[in-house]
Amino acid sequence: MKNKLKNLKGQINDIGNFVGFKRIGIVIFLTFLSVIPNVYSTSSPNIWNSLFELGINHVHIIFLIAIISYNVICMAEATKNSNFLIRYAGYKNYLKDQIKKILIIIFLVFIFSLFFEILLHIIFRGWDFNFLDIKIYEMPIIVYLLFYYLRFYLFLSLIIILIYFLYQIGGKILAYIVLLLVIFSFSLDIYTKTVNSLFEIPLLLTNYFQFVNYSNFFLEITASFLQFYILIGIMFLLKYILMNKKENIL
Amino acid sequence: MKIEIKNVSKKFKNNLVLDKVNLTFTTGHIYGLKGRNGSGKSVFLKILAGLYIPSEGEVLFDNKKFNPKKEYPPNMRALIENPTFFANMTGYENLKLLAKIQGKISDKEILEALELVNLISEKDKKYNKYSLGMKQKLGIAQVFMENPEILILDEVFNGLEENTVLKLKDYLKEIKKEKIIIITSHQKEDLELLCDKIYFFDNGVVKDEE
Repeated sequence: MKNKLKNLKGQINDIGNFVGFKRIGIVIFLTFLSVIPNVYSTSSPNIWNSLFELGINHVHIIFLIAIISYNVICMAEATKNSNFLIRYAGYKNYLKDQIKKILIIIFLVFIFSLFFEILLHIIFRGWDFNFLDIKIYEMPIIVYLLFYYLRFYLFLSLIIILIYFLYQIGGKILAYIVLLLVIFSFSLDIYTKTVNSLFEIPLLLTNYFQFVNYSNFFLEITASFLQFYILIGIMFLLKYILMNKKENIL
Repeated sequence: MKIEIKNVSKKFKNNLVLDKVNLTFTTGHIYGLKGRNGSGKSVFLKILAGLYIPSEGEVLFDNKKFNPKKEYPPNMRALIENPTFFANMTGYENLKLLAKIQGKISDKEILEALELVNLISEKDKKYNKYSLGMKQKLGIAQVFMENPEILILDEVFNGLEENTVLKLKDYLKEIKKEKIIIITSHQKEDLELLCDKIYFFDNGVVKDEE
């Protein structure tokens, strides 16, 4: 455990070096700013409800995707040179190491956003931690929140990794175009229908960053798994293209 | 160790930069690559380092072909064109960051490499405060610090003062017994005094000069 923590500390330090410590400070500050509107607009004094509203706040999500993607692209640019590349056992190992660092960046920003939301909520809205009164699918909100934020972290990570692979395949312009398309997709209509069967599940990724009314929790889990496998499939396809394209690494 | 370059060609769209290059490099020698700008030297070095993929032909390391997408040639370090480092970090921190990737060496080796290139007194200066020559020295230090078997040094003496050049030349002669060293330089004298064999690059074609 001690070693793992030491390793994590080392990884965070490396990320700081790759993207610049000053910039990490700015990222944390911007994360803080992005949480403020949610604290003011939240309808309930309950902390769990407030956290749930943060998770479906598209302005906040767009911010997270944009700021993380930008920093990931900066890190990729800084390390894609002969000094770094040939020190790895292979290009594949280089990618693996980068993805590990990307997941840590996302995790840190994600945790900071939750921390700021809780902190600001306590300061401005009070101390209402009761999770028994609010129920989703007849279960306490905290159980649903655990599922929702796990999915949130997984899907957010997959989106960023896809953007990273696109940067490696086609360069900065392609990555930024796709990033803009992802951001644009969050402005599309919110899914308001109730999902009663597998044939009605939403296919657009942004529908998994909002509250969609499913007839039961199992159906929502199934829909999330399907979407997860679609994203994993795209990721492996991009990885295959990247590893097999007969072009230069640099 | 033996590196064999067999019929290697490299095309960028319709521009043929290297045309069926055949060369062999073996341990215990310093090889010089000569040629004007754009003659294909740097592209050749990038192919050797696994950073460019040849359009045709193959590169064998001890009869083994490496797919750089999966595996880089082992124990090779390179200084190709302008080395890239992190501006916000000191020279020493930059080397430490690179050394961490393989974790093979300690601070001692990093400091020795800095000493070798006469950069030890500037090791705690931020990279963005380095002069052109100091940046070049740091690029050379990262090549030497892990004691690689294959050293690729593109325009290695560029921007260096005379005493560092002499020190490096002596060092290269001293270590060459167990290594393959490939150097490019604009200075004819640098190559003639140092290299056991010189190859001349002309429009992508390689000629044996000596």
